[in-house]
Amino acid sequence: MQTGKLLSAKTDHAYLLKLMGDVRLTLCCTLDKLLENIFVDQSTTSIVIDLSEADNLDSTTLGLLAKIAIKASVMGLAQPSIISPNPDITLLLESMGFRDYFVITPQPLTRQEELKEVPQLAGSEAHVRAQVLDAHRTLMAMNESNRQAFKSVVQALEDCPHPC
Amino acid sequence: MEPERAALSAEQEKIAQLEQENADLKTALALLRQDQQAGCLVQQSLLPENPSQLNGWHFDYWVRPSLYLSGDFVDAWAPCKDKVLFYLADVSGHGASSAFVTILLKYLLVRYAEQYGCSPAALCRQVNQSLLKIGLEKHLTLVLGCVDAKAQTLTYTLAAHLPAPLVVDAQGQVSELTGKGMPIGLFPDAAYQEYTCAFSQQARLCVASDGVLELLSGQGLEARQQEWHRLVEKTRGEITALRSQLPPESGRWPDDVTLMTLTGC
Repeated sequence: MQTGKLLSAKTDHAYLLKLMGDVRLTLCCTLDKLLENIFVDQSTTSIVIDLSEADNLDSTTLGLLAKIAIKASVMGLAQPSIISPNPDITLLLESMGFRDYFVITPQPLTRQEELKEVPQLAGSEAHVRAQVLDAHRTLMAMNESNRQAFKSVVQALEDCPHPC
Repeated sequence: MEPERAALSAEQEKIAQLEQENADLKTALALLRQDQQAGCLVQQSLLPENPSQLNGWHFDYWVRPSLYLSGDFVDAWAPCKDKVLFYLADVSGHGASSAFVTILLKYLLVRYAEQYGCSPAALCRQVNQSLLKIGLEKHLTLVLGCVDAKAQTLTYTLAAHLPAPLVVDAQGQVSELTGKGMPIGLFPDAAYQEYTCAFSQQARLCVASDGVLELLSGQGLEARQQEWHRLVEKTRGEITALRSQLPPESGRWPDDVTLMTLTGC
């Protein structure tokens, strides 16, 4: 299993957090810093957590995600989205009751129905899609390994049909 | 000759210095180990008698910390004549910081049970509020139940616990305790539900912490949960038999592992 990694990026309004590999945050000193980073910028209106390349999340990491959702709600932001194509990870998130606090999708939001199911989500489908795409593109531009890591996500986003 | 001798002496000095550092490190490590062992003794003394007989129920458990101190904890006690309250908790992370929370949890649950009675959901709500108020940045998953020998029922609340607790009936059939709930100490508005099912004294309740799943074969959470189910079926949920099915205890396990069973005497 790949050692855990935490990547983040920010575009105009979207904050993207990507967790990769076996994420075990046994020391939580960096977590508060991360939370600060997410919320320090008042212009952040949506938060996307990409778990498409995460193999496993430990309990401390789950706690961090929960804190992000709570903070987002306190600040009046839309529910953060979690992209989780791995059914095991989704099971773990559901066992923690995360369905009530996050928009959990197996892939980046692309279907109109998903948006209907989740009225709390601010912005149109196209808007959310653009934000996710933007954040991933920013990450890709940062360095070569990011470019490799996010290639497939961006490809998927670009390939998915534009909403009418 | 002179420069060579000087180089030799410098080398010897370096070796002596390293030897000293090594000895210092060993001493520091021994101190830390003693400290952890002392902590471990205190934590063990807070666990209930093993096994315990309570109001006609037999409570049995096994806690195996990944290092010295455990973030897993179990307890069972009889708050009144017919009832037995029990729980298995798994605090996020492991080691000393998680172990502190297990001690706090024990204190809170015993106190709140005296204050508010034996409703598992009400107790979960209270502990959730308390942990959030203290702001420890730690959360936990919990199976909290109350068996009633007279009514032959089990009332329980599940707080995000994996794997699902299993009941082995008198015929050896295994079924999962249904229900779900939020973890404790994360969400201020978390709601906890209470479930009640028939539970005769011939049945055995078998609860494990999620550390056990990491020891089982199978790819992914779902497959490992099924493997756990199969093991409980095979051993009828009997702790010694279950333990013999787990990998040998030598070597460090990635997470704390706890097993707990409750059955009629």
